Amino acid sequence: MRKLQFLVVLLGLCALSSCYHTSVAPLSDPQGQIVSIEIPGARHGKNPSERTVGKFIKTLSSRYENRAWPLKYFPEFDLSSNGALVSILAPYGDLETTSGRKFCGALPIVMLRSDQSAESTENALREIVADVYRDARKSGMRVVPVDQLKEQPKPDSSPS
Amino acid sequence: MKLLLLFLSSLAMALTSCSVSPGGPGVDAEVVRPLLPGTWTSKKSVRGADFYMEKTFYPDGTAKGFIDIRSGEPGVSLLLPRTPFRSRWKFDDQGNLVTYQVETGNQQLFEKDWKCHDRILRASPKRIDFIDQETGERGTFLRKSDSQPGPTAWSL
Repeated sequence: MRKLQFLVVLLGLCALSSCYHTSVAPLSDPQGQIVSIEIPGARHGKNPSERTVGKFIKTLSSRYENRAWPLKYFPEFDLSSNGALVSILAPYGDLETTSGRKFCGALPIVMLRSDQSAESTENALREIVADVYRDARKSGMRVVPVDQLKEQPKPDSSPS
Repeated sequence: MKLLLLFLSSLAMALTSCSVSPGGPGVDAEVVRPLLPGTWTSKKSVRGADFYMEKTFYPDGTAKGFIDIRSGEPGVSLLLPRTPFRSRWKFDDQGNLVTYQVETGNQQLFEKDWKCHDRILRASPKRIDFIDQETGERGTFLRKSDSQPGPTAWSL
């Protein structure tokens, strides 16, 4: 019985991986620059709390929490039989601009997984990235293009 | 980050590019000039990355468009940000289509004062084949039709 269950799960996973396309893109501005976002309420040099980071992610992804969001991005999406999921990953840390301003920021990465074609998924992701950027600006978040950030110092590799 | 920009820059140059006086005699500039105005698409794969460009040529010698870059395998893909650009075009004394004064929000994508000289090999209202005189690479512009869906047009 357990073997059968395992087989069913395995087959399900194979079916999922063959039907779905996953596309990933960094958050960028309309000029094509990859951007970082200052996390509201977080301070440079201090680890932001889970609540602060959670609120930040929720603000960026709130548009994708209702069930009908795919209809905006996929022209032939059927809510009863198709599937799509947006995830926003936001690795964060202390950043500094070339002008010397220090802040705690994130480099958001948007991921879209759907059972639509690769081309549809990629076109939808480009629109989603544009909407996430607009939502960040609308909610007053401070956006900094990565080419205005100082390079992070390389870790010291000398033996201690 | 610098590595990524260097990679993008070399890919962008390869996209529009050409080698040493390749391609033989080209199509006369006066034949190509009236065909150019309108929106054209071009695709290219370079070292595992796919480029898609849409470019609209205007009769006054200006052009604008965007470049999309993606990389991936069946089932998964990575998209780099869409890069809009503006440029100018003209024909030089040898009849090459010259792209110059390229402006983009991502300044690392094109070197300062970057130019491209394309010899037109074949030209029709729907398709233009060219060869980049700097790199020797061949390329094709396909006229974008009104019915062509979506901003991008490639599949894995």
